[in-house]
Amino acid sequence: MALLELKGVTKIYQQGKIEVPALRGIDLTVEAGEFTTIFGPSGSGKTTLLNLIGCLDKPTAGTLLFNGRELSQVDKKGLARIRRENIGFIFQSYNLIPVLTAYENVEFAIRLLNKHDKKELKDRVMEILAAVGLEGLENRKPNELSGGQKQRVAIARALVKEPKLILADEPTANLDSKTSEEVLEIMVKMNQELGTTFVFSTHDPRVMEYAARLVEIRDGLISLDRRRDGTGVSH
Amino acid sequence: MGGFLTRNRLRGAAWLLGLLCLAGLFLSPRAAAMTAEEIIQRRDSNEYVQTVIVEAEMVILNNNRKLTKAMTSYADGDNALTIFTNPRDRGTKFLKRGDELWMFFPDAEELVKISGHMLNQGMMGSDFSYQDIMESDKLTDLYEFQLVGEEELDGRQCYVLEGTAIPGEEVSYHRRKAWIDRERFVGLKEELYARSGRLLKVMTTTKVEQFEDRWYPVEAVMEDKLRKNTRTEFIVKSIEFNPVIPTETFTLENLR
Amino acid sequence: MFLTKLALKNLIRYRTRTLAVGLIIAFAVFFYILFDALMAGMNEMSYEGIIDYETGHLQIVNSSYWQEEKKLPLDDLIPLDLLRRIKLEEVQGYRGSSAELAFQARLNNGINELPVVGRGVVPEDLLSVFSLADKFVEGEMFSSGEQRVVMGKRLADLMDVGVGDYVILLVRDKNNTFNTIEAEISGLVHTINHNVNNFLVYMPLDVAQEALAVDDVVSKVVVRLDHKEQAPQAAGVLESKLQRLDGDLAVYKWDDTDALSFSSYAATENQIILGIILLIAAIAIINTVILAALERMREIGTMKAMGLDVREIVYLFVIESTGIGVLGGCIGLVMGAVGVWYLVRFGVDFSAMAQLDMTSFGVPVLGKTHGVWNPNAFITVFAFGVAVSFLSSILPGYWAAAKDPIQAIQHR
Repeated sequence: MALLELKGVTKIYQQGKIEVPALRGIDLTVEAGEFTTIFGPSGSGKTTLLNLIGCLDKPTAGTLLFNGRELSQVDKKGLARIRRENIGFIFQSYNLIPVLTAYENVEFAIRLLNKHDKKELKDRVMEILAAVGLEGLENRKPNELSGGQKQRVAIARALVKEPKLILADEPTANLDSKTSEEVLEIMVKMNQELGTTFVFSTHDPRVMEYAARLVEIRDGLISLDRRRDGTGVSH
Repeated sequence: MGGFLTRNRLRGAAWLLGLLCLAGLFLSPRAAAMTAEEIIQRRDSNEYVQTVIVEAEMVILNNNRKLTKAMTSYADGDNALTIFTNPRDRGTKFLKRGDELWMFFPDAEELVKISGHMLNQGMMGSDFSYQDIMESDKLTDLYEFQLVGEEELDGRQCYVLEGTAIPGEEVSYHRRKAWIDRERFVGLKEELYARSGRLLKVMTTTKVEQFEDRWYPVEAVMEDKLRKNTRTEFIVKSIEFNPVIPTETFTLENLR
Repeated sequence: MFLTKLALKNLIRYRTRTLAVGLIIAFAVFFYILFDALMAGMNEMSYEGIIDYETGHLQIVNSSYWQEEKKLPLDDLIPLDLLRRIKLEEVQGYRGSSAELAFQARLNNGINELPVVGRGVVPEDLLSVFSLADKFVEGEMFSSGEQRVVMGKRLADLMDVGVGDYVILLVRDKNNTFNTIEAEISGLVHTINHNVNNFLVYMPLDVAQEALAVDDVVSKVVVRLDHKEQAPQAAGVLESKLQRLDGDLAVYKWDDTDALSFSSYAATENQIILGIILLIAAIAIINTVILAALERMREIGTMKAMGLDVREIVYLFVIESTGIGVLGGCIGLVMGAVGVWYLVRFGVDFSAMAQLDMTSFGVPVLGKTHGVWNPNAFITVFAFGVAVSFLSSILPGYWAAAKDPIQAIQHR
């Protein structure tokens, strides 16, 4: 069973009296463990697509299955639960909680799950922070960290709950080339070691180099879908 | 029959007796002295009327202020209704029923019972207190009167009487001194005293008129002796003795 | 709880705003407490005004007389020899007693007349029960048997008379017969009691009894105790003693009279002020929550993305707001405590501030008004303040939490 299955997914936004179609019929299947990049010019609909995949929104038409579950039936509270347990987000502007330290920001994500006891929690957080190369910096607040470090915290936060899917919306957009590379390396590492599915949106060509699968969106439709190993995906 | 008592003689004696009696009738008022009580009673029988309708004016003088009020009063025994008719007070009404006194204010459409210390206040600002007007018991029941002499007052010969309150009776004025016209038996002046001996009020009759067989005071002045420069004049404009007054006149509903 | 910790950290982070709103609430609390203390102080003064000049702590009267007291009848009076058979001094807390004969009179200065209430009293007793001794602004107290009177300076001014002048009191005695009392004014007083200042004329009891043609009787006996709190018990003891002599006698406490309208007036005012204060607090809180939500839009979006549901986000805001309420409340309580301490110790002189005599308005305030400690007020306003902070943050909290996460995240 694929992790994500989108069939004929359409999303239309109401802006006053005008209807804006952001997605006009997307068919996409993502298998568990894939490292996929969605690229395209701004306004092409990639953010919308990510939002739908991330269960932050529901399609106007079409079906979206997450782990085999039809999302159109799920209510807001249900969607929140799915996000909490299965999806990690990484944002372009990091979106860390300013009053919390790096440790606490990461801890936040699994505290919500109420699954682990205190000691387990601590171990897991420290482990993940080390994995993204942030040991020693766990007590710093976001305003005391560099862009790259902040993104690493975001990654750690996304990863710490061992989600099925990590969605990253232009994660390297605010980073310099060196840091971007470092961050991407970590993500690849996590993908390979933990088998977490990564779906990015980007228009950074460097990111596209790392991706095992490229999906291009133009004007709300997929125009390209190619795997690195050459295998194409028909649409 | 013969003898002393002839029919003619008897008839003559009867005439003589009759003449003597007539003479006696004419003579006795001068010859026999009247008691104080009789004098008061004569005056009361003149001034006291069971039923009467009076149209009167009341002029209140207080320092330099002068207020004139006009009223029409209906009285029947213990009940009396007074309606004010001058423009300023038009519609104000007073109703006395036995022991109770009620007042109606047309502006506020309010009916007020006057009792307690309110009775001591001057009616409509005059020197006649409500209490003065309320008192209707016969004076001879309340006071012990004595004839203290005779005086001339404004050209009229008057009996001067002094009345002292009978102990235990509820009276306003401990002592009253009255000047009563010898001929007409109408009161010409009255002085009202407190128990301490202080003169409280003086009522002077300034005009009397004859109605059929009685003399009635039609103009009087009341002075409050405790306050300088105040007096109230009471002037009767018209008076109807013993009219027929319907009993509904003296009801609270009629006041409104 | 974790979210609670986060909420508190947020409060510390946005220190300025927390403090600003907290201070608004603090001042609101502070003013309420001060107002309450002053109102209570004025209440006390009005009680004193009544106790010290009219009712004492207890009044011994014939119960039929009490019903008709407004008319000041000369019936159902108490014979003094009956009272002498009771040892009033034995009542706990007894300080003194004053027998008085009350009657209606018209005060006449030869030109005008005013209705007044006369009180025939024994001078030494009057001064031992009521606080008149130091209230003489002119002249002095009379002695028994003298044809002299004492009245309020206000009344005297109204009648255009002064100490040494003669006045006439027109009265009706027991038989309703008019009598006059001619007396010299021996002294004039000015007190916080409106009635004393404007309507009462004091004279020796024997003179009054003679003028009213009554025997050695009085309308009532006023008793003073050490504290007003002793009144209920003393009343009970005294009444049972009296009823053994005459079943119609009764003892009424100082608060059995109608003269307490001022305190109910004050209670309503208190509630209105509380309402206004809570409104201010609510507005401040709602404002803060909305501002905070707008500022932390991205955070809210992120948290939603991470899976926080609406209730949890609302919880964050509510805890923050309640925290501000508690903080503000505490600061307000401290400020209030200091303020009340000052008011209790030093008082505030309204007359000096406003440059007028408050007694002319019938308000029993003369000299300084002191505050009164009222722990209830502290608790009430704090509880209400926190409750309002809590409640008024719920709706704006929901408003903040309901924001679309996507738009929220992208909010710049």
